[in-house]
Amino acid sequence: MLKKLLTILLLLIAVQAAMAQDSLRHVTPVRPATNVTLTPPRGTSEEVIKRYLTGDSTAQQEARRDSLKRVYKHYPLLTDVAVGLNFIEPLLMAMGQDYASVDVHATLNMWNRLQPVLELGLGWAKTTPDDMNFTYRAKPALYGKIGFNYNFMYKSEPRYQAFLGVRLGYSSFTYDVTDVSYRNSYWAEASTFDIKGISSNAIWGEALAGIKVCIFKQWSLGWTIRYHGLFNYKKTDSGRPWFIPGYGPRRRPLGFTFSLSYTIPLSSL
Amino acid sequence: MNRLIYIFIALTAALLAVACSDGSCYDNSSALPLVRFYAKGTTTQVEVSNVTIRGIGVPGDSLLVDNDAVSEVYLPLRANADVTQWRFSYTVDADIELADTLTITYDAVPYFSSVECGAMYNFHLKSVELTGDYADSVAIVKPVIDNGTDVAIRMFFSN
Repeated sequence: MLKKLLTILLLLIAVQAAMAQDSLRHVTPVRPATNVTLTPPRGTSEEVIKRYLTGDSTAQQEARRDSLKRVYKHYPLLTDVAVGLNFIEPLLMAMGQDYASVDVHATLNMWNRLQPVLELGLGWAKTTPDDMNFTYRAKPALYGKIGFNYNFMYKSEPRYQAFLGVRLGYSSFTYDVTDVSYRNSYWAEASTFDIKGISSNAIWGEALAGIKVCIFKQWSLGWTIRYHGLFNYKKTDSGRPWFIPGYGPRRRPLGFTFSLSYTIPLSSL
Repeated sequence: MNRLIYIFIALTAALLAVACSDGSCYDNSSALPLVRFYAKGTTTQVEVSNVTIRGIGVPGDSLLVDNDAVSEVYLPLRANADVTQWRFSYTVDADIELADTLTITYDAVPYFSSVECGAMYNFHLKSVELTGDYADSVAIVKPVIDNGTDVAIRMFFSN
């Protein structure tokens, strides 16, 4: 409805302007091949619209370029850098979860599209499941991930993003399984034992989808949901790890992150 | 931008739902060697009738199989020893009983399987030996006994 009103208004202006200018300038009128009335794209500057309406043939191209600049804003190579903290799992651990990974990450925003990411963190776990015969303890261990995001909202402000990404992760860690109570009912045997200092490492990949929203000035909150899979991990005669720092439980294919980040602009937009 | 905020809220709910899920153990909760019976020189599984199986030295002389027909059996090994012996008795006729002794030599190795299945001993088999007058032979097909359900030892019988 608004568009129609605007069209009518522009036509009226055009007629009036043509009548007013007719005696001053002589230009070749633009004759559309059809009956469709061409209107300047939305966002075109007033000066270009005036020229456009007078029938200046070059103004149509200028109007398009002028509009594209507004609609498809081009961000510079180095748009901004965001530094963040993924802190959801320590909160979940406080609510009863048996493991946590926390990391800091840095994201370089290039053209507001491609975003190389580096994540460095610490993961640990401790669990004594009900009705089971052991305590599993993974000592705090470092992990790292590299990868990139592709921001699908590259036409919008960098403060709001929806993106897909990939990561490659690695961690080297040790774990203990203690207070194991063993019972063999047939042979009437019972014993306890510990398995300590089992070292392992893992390398994995992640595919993720995420969003980022501005909450205050340069501060943002962001979610990612991650589907991950192990490329390789170290097994020993003493066992297989249950928890991998940065990955989570070995058999769980989904992961989440929730981050608070601060964005540092690298250029004036 | 409003849509982005709705997605944000939906993801929060999804996290809480997934964080509460848990797994189950789909293997055994202890490492037991599975012994399966075959016809001599073949891979044809056979059922042995009227067999009684007991561990040699087991408290109370308790039976694992009591005069039953079986084609396979899990034989629990002693974790506090490196040899376990089993006596197989066969009632072939009303007053004829034959017997074999199966001796399994191994190392018991503490092992963590998973949070769902727990910790246990794995058994690294060194040798199996069969003496007696009914079964023909025995062979190891899986040298490391874990909590899986694969066949570890094949025991062959003549017809």
